[in-house]
Amino acid sequence: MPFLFSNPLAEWLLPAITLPILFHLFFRLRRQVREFPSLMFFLRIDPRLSAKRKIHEWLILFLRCLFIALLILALARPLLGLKGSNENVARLVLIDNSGSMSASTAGGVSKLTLAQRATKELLDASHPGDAMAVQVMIPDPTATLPRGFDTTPALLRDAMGKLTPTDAAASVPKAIRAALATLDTAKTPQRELHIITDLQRENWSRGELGSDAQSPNCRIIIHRIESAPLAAGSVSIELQQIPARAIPAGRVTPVRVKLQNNGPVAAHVRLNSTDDSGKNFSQNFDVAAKAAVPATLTFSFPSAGFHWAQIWVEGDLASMASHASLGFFCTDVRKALFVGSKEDFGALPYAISPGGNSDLSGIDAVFAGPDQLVARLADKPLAVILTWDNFPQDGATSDALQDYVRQGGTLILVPAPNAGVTVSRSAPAWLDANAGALQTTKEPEPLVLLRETDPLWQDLRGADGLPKLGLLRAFQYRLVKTGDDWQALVTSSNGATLLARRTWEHGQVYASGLAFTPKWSSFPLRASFVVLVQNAVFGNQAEQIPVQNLIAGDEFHFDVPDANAVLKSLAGSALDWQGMPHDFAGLPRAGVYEISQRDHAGWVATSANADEADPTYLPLAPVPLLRNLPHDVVPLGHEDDLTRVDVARAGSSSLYRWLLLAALLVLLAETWLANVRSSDLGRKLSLKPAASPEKSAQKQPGEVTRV
Amino acid sequence: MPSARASKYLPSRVADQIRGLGISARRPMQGGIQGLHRSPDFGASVEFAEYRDYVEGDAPNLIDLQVFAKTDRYMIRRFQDETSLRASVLVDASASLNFRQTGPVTKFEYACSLAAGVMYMLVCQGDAAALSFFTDRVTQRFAPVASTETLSPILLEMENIEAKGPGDIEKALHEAAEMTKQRSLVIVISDLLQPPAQFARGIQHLQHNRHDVTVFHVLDAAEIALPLHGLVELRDLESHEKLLIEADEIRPRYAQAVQSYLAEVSRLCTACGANYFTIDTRTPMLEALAKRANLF
Repeated sequence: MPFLFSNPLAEWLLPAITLPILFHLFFRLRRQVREFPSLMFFLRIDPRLSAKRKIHEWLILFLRCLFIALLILALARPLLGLKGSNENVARLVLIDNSGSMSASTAGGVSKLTLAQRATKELLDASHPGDAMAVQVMIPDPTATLPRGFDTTPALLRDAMGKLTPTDAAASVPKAIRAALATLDTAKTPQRELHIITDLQRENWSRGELGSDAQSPNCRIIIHRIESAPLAAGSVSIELQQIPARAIPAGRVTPVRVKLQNNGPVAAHVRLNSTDDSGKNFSQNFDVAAKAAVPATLTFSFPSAGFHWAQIWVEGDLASMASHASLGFFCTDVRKALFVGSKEDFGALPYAISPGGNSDLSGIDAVFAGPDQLVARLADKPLAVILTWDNFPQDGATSDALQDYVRQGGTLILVPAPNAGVTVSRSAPAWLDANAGALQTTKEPEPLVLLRETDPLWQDLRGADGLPKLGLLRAFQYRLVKTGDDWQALVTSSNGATLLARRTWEHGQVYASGLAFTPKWSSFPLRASFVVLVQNAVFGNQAEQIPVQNLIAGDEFHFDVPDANAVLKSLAGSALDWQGMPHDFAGLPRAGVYEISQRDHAGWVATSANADEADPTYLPLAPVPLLRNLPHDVVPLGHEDDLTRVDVARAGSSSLYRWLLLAALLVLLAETWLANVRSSDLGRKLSLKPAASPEKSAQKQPGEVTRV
Repeated sequence: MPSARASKYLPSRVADQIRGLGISARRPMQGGIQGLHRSPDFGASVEFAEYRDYVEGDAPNLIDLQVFAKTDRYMIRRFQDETSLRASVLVDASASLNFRQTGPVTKFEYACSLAAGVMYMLVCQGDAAALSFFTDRVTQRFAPVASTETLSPILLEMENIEAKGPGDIEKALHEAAEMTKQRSLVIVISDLLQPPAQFARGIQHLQHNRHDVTVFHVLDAAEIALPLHGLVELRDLESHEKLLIEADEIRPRYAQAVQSYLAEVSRLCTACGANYFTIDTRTPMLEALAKRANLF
């Protein structure tokens, strides 16, 4: 087994092995010279003592030399088991290409660059007949790495040199399983899996690698790249809420993001956004160290169809996780159908279409008579608003309304402000709700808001998470009687339901006992009334739209799994791919992509994974995730230190710990020997029983008279 | 004793302290003049010895008239004679006595001080003391002195004597035994660095010649405890041999060997009828002399 020293400088310490000998000789020369009256008594002593003493001394001297030699060898960090030239090995290098690898090392180069150089060294260290393979943790469609083992390192070297960082988080267990599966296909019995990574805690703590993941005769070596500690702010973007439904053209859509500063000091950053129509926006933010700041960006698009936007942060230290791409699907102006005359609905039309048109909300308020309801439902209005007194009584209209709701429509039932005491028409049985007689309160009755987490109160909550609409009072109302499927949202102070909602398949129905005029309640007098009504009409139900907003690296599914697909990037990371869906590696970078399959078109917008900005890494120790797989974790220094030694370390086992242990044992033996007299040593080694004290005393001659 | 007070080996302070001490012998001594010690001869002391019949030639005035009156026999009462003591102090002057480590002086200086003290005690009680130095033979002899005036020159002369050369205690004691004709108190002051059986023969010779032998075994404490550490090269003061030892390693066995040697020396001296004392050079002189003083 050949040796290699990973710290050859320690070899300069080898002459120190002679130190005990020099000390021994020095002290021997420095012996005391004393005159003595007679040597008579010394000559009487057993002459064998001298021989024992010499053996004892030489043994101690040998142990001291051995201790220093082992210590120096340990410092030199010898590597044993570097494969010989006649043993072929299948070596697979698994490169971590997650977002965190784009950060710099202490040497100034990016971690991925360092990983590439280390891989190149491993390729250079291969011998004829060795099988080599390179894989990345995150599948990358832009990478041209050959699949399986290749005996020509030049191809691998070229492909590996083109690797670029991704914005995704690695699924380490999945990547290791794939690597082990590839190693299982190797023909050589000796196998090595080299994982070059920064051991980012987020990635290496996620998932589980069960005991089934095994590969016999395979050594796993993790090359840990030391990350440079953060010295400035490092801000990542995390998208909080993206509309998952079609947006009416022209409607202003808010997008909430969280700016997380992972750095040790405050960051002064600029949040930028741009969209496909060329509208740009910038805003400065101060983000304290280890703190987060919420931000809201608004987008509006003038036409129907797909639109995209990009968000990024400028001025922070790290580029990873600081950009996001968004995809929106816009429809034409949507309609809110009011069945009846405008006077029947109080302030509702104005809250749905502020300004009397769709310029602000993207929703147009239209009015129609009950007889036109069925025809108008064919246009799929965004919402249908009815008064209790106008509820259609004929079965066909009622059924059409029922189908409309089930398919995702929103039905809002309100009292007519000027109707009689009792409701003139009863609601159908399928609605399972009715409005009672008109009740007028002597004193304004406070209203109670329920279900503070309900989407109806979105954007109306205070810092404590409770809806904040001020002190609401009712002056008159109709009691709403609902079945068990309904959820009360607003009640009077005595518990009477005044506003309730029922979710019915894809749609929803609101039943109100309050007409939205100032005579009935103080609701319309609040500025937040518009938000409340917009929430009720637009809602937050997911819609089937051809746009997917994903995090980079997330799995996404093609609309037609068995048809040839063409992917083109519209913004962000460049990609031009064509092939069958099952061959597609995924989207590991932030960007906007258009997917074409036959006559289907779809869009995907991906954002960088915010977890990649987390600057915590696992230490240079066995990795808990690989507890079932024997492995070594070795440091990979910065660029200047990267030599063949690093490579050799990978294919060998370090004797460092064993040598230290041996040195410790030798030191203990030396200490024991040094504290044992040579005469005792002779007795102990020969296992002769020591003379009992009584016998010794008997042998002692009597004391002489001494003055 | 003005000149004795100025001696290096007998400072006036020590001399004053030991003046009151006396020294006696176990065996009867033969002195030249009347003294404090028992004599093998009959004399005129007050201590009754025996009766014997009157024979012709005896002075008639020696007849004990009271016995004659009672028994009608001519009997003569005899009394124990008391005589002065003649001592011979033998000081080892071999090179091994030049050792000093833990004590304030070398073993030789201590031995000389001890010899001076003994002689001063003897002279003070009216006895005569001779002094001899020996190595492997008797190298120097001083005639017996019986007064402090005659002792002073000897004390001064002692200061010029050096310990040097190899020692052979047995041979030197044989020689001293031959030279000392008169029954004496022989005081040997030495470090006895010789196999015990050998110098015991010398002591036996002295004892055989009816001398009363006292042995002062002078040792430095370092010779017993070996307070050295680490690697030490020892050089023999007499033979100049070298020996490399690991002091810490060898100490227990060395101490055992020394104790064994001391026990053997003590046993042999006792067997020979000699008085034996081991003296550390750190022991104050008065304390060392008091051990032997008035032992009997």
